[in-house]
Amino acid sequence: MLYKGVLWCMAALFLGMLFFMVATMPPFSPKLDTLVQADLAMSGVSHDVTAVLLNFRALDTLLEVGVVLLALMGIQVVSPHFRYKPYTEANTITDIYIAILLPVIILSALYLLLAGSYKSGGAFVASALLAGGIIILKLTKPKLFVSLEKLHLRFLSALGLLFFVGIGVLTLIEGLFLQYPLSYASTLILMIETLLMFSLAIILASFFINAVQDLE
Amino acid sequence: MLSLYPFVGLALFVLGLLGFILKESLVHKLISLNIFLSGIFLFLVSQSLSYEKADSVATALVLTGLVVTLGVSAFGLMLIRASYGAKR
Amino acid sequence: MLVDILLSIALLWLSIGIVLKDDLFSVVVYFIVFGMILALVWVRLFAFDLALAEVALGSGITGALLLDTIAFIKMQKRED
Repeated sequence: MLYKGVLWCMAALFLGMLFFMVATMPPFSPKLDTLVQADLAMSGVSHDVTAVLLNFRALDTLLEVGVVLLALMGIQVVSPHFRYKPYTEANTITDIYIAILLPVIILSALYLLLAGSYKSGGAFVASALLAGGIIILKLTKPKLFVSLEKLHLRFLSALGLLFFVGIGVLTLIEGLFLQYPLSYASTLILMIETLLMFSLAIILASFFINAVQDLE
Repeated sequence: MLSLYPFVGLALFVLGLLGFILKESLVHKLISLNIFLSGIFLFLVSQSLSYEKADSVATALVLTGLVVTLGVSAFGLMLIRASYGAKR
Repeated sequence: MLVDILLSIALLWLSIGIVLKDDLFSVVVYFIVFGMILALVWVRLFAFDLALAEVALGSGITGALLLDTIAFIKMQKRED
């Protein structure tokens, strides 16, 4: 009990010190943001966050997709011993629910993907939405993806990263790694985003589906 | 009143750290980890706010961070399951 | 603005509840609600990409994974 009290007091002291430090910090001046706004015209998209994610700092995004794929590999190494059979059966309510909901989810994911080039949206948000749709589909119809081969699934989940690295190698012919040529930038970003959306959706959905799939 | 949010972010950071140290259950520790990562993201974005617009570089950084956080949570939860299964 | 103060109080209350409570199920429900409130805060901070991502990833998929793990742990304990 004493240990907990001392810890809470230390936390309060720490919080007070942090508050003081932040309150006396100099005001923020957006230097990087002005650089981004100045070069927005040559990035190929007109939304600044998408421009930073897929053009100016594309290497970060590539490594991030690599990290997510690595997490999936770790899960697939650990998970086969710890699955259990979910409780599901055919049900009129869930069937009608998924039949109405899934087209709306796919449509809004595609809209978010295309809207990413000029306003909020983009590949990551669209892939999260699509992954949610796949998870709901798997929960209501558990026998749906059982016949899908493991190898195809692995290829699909690595496809986004492979395509991204391939584009990077192609841009090495003239210029630096992932420095898109000016006239192709828009098309290249849209292609990368589309493939990234599908493969990230499959990866994020298999984070969950690996956990509930039954072994038979 | 938007200058309130950096302090809320700091408070979330400290609370999440406390939960990460104090709690026994591993799932509880993972949720506390998520709370203190949320605190860091909130601080980063709200501190870099200027002229009613979020800084684009900070937003992109935090978007990357959210996806990586999900990866960390998913892998951590699977390891927690493995530890509960191994205890049996 | 009043909205900012209310959202901040909600965030702090939920996170204090997460730290103080011991029941795992209510902690997970608190965490899902926390993600939703944080999405509203992102909208207040003009970061709409983050709001969308937080609802879908931070609250949705993480919440589903946590609930599933709790069900798994309960089943393991019942089998003992």
